[in-house]
Amino acid sequence: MSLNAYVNKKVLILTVDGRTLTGTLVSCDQVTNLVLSDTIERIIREPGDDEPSAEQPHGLYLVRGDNVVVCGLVDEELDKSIDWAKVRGEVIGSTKHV
Amino acid sequence: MASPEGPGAVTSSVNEPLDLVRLSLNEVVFVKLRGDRELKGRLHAYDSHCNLVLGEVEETIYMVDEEEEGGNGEVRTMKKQSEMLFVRGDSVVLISPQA
Amino acid sequence: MLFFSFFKTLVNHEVTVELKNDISVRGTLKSVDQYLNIKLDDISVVEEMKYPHLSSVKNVFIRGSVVRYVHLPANAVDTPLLEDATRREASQAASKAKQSSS
Repeated sequence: MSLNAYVNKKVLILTVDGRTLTGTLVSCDQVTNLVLSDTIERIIREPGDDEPSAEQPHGLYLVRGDNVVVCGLVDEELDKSIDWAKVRGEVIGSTKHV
Repeated sequence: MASPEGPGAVTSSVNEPLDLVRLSLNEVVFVKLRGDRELKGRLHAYDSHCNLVLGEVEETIYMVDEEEEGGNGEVRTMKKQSEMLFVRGDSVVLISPQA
Repeated sequence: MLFFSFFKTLVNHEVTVELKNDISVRGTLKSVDQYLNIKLDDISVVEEMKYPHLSSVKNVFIRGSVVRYVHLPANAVDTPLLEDATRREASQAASKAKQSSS
């Protein structure tokens, strides 16, 4: 499966409930279940918000496949050049509609 | 309505709902989707999941302005065009020929 | 299998994948699998100011189940060929159903 190309690399996951997780991809399977190590949840605040965008460490995570929207390969240089605390963005919506 | 045909033959009788869709190939169809969306375009492909490929398609999105208190929100529409569009079947609610 | 084969003919074309959470991602289609999971290279998020979340990502794996649309270049699609393949696939599916019910 093409996700195997990302194993042992830093990835960024968007989940169906709109969360952003980043971590090292330890393993994956045919239904996109993922194991991430050193997982960090990035909370990107909205433009009107005074609080800085935050990061929450979560350690070792198993993400069930049906919760995965995208799994992106993080470009480490690009990632370091961004001050994530200053980034503002819209809250990502859910993938499910009534 | 039994139609005795081998596996390779292309049938011309209508046996199941998806056969109605087959009759609309290369014709303009109207598709209703989940999330208050509609499409109108030329049907080029479909499968049993209702995955579709439509050409020259116009999408209509219905939105409700709910800011007014005590009253009904205003229904707005947004239209978008696409020259060729794959539509995933799990969003499809209905497919109908556009007479 | 029809759409899996269809997408394989579009590898290396630029497409825009619209997701069910309303995010649209443009990129070069590099791979597809039987679940219609999609891999795009050199991506750019369509409303980047709204969704900066993927700013450090160049290549992305998109789970098939979260796709709403894939916008394609019309010149990359042979529509008569597609329609013929659809008719074949539809009759194969019908005869398979008939075999299992007899």
